[in-house]
Amino acid sequence: MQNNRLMKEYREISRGKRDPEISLRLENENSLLRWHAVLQGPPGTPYEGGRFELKIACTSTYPLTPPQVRFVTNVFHPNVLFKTGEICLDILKEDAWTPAWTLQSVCRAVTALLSSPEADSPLNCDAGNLIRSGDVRGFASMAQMYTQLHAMASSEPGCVPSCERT
Amino acid sequence: MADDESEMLFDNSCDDASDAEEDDDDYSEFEQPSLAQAPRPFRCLRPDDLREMQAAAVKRVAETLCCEPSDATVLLRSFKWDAERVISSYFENPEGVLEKAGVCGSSNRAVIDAAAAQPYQCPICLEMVTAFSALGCGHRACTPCYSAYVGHKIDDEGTAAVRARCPLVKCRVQLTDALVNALATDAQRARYAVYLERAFVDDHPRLAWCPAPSCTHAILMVQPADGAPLTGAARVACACGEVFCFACLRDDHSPATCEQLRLWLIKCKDDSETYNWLQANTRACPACKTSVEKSGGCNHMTCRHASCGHEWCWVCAGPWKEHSGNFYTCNRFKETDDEEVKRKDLSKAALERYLHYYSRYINHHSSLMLEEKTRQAMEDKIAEMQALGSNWLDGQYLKEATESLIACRHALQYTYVYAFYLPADNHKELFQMAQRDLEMTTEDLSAEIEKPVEQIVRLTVLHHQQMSERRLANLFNAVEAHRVAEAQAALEAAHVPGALSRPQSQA
Ligand SMILES: [Zn+2]
Ligand SMILES: [Zn+2]
Ligand SMILES: [Zn+2]
Ligand SMILES: [Zn+2]
Repeated sequence: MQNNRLMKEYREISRGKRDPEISLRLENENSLLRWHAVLQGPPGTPYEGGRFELKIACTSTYPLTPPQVRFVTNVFHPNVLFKTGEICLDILKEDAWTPAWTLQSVCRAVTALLSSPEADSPLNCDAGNLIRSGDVRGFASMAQMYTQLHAMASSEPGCVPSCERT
Repeated sequence: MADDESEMLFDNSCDDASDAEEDDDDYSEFEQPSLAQAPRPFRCLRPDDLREMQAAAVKRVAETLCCEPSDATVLLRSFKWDAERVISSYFENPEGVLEKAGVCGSSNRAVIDAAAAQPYQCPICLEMVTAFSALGCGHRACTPCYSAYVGHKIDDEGTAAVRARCPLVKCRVQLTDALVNALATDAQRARYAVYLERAFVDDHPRLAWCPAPSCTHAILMVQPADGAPLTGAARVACACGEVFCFACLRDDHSPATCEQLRLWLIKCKDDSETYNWLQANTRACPACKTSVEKSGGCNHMTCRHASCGHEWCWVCAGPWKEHSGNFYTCNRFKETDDEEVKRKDLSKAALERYLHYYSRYINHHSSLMLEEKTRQAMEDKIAEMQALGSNWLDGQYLKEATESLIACRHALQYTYVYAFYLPADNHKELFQMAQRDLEMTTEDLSAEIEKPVEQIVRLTVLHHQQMSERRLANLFNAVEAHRVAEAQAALEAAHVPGALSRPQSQA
């Protein structure tokens, strides 16, 4: 059933039934378990205009168990660990996950997380503290700076020492 | 019929007539609280009893609310198995209760493996199908997918399977045991039944599993007559012999409170490196420096070195002769009044103070570690007595004395935890006197039964044993009296603010 399910998702995605702001593809044609996604930064957020890459790894028990999802692009966001791209999102955890989620809807949930950060369970404490202290503008300008630095096609991912915060 | 049926089955001796509600602000009356020293009533339940108790609660709710037993189970789970609260809350706000618990109303039944009129897309395998199963919420999935979902919850998520929900995204309806049992394999069904039972005990505030590794019993605390919630430590004994604290599931730690023990254990863990030496089982004789090994639990050490024979106390290394009668002061930490010394090094004083209590705590504790050895030694002694011509029954008093000794040591170790957290006041003075008395007779008893067989005098053993038991009871009475007095004072302060403000308004 698992592989059938991934095959089904693969077919639906290649048939073009997709969101314009999400592009999902197999990492390579040999495995249905590894995926690569690109999300468009949601408009009206500090991530607008950015291209955010995700790596998705399913296990053979997918969709009974959630896939592992992490950002490849560096993101300044309270629920994303800056260094590793690890994401804190309830639906990706065993107890809130249900097999009715698909890779597409997971990507949509991650996009939604970009729009509405959860400052109370921060993986990135700097980002979380900015929001919690009410400095939304400070947070937005930091997030925007990192978006320009890492998620905009025009800029080369250069190494800025101060970005190595976690 | 307002009584909890599940309770009625098991409790027939629950008539606690303590009238704590007397509003008498006449404080000239000196009524000593009765110190029955009765432990809070509890029952040991076998797996069958637990099933029966659970079934009774489900039946009560299902019959009163006219709902499916499996829905009643979900409702009860979300109300911590308080059937009466389920019922009264339901009649107040049926929709709210159902929604909160994740139950569908009785008009929406679960469907198991039916055929849909029109093909639909199964949200799990994404195929177009007609066969489906659904909970009362009507969210369909094809039966093989639903079974795989249910099976995965049971096989891979342990007890959490009990709280699994409808597989549809964001639907909060709980899986019912009826649906699970219809879709799971035999092995999964069996495991699910175990999880249900575990969750029942875990969720029920007055139930706790016996912590003994292979024991399957649970302890049920009887509901107090006034419905007051359970608070604080409670010593309970399982039918398997395990004695533990109901509130924290740790070793019975009376007279210390759960919180005191928790803080104490953290403190000990933090400081353990520093005080490891205290646990070492050999020490040098203070007189001749020959190392002496502590073999039994007794603190009265006698140097075996030829010509020395010095007698000393294992704990404080002082001469043993200062440890009899009123000279026995080993249990007290002398808080110094010298202001200069106090100012000089407060942290050192704190450390010394802790060390004082800790060394005495750990000493009784490690004596207890030798418990099994002590029991075995006693068996050997009884056998030896038989060989010397007395019959087996004659030796049994030694066994009883050993059990008394163990009980006293057990309590003594925690008296140091209790005393450590006591403020220096009258009660502490009294408590430490009772503690000292108990410690003295306990050591006497220990010394007597550790003698070679031919030197043991039965009457002496019995005397020390009786003294120990009496002093143990005295100590607990003192603690209980203090607790009751403090609780009453707190109650008066809270309920009669007038009594407190009266003198002020006169001034
Ligand atoms: Zn299906
Ligand atoms: Zn549902
Ligand atoms: Zn037991
Ligand atoms: Zn406790």
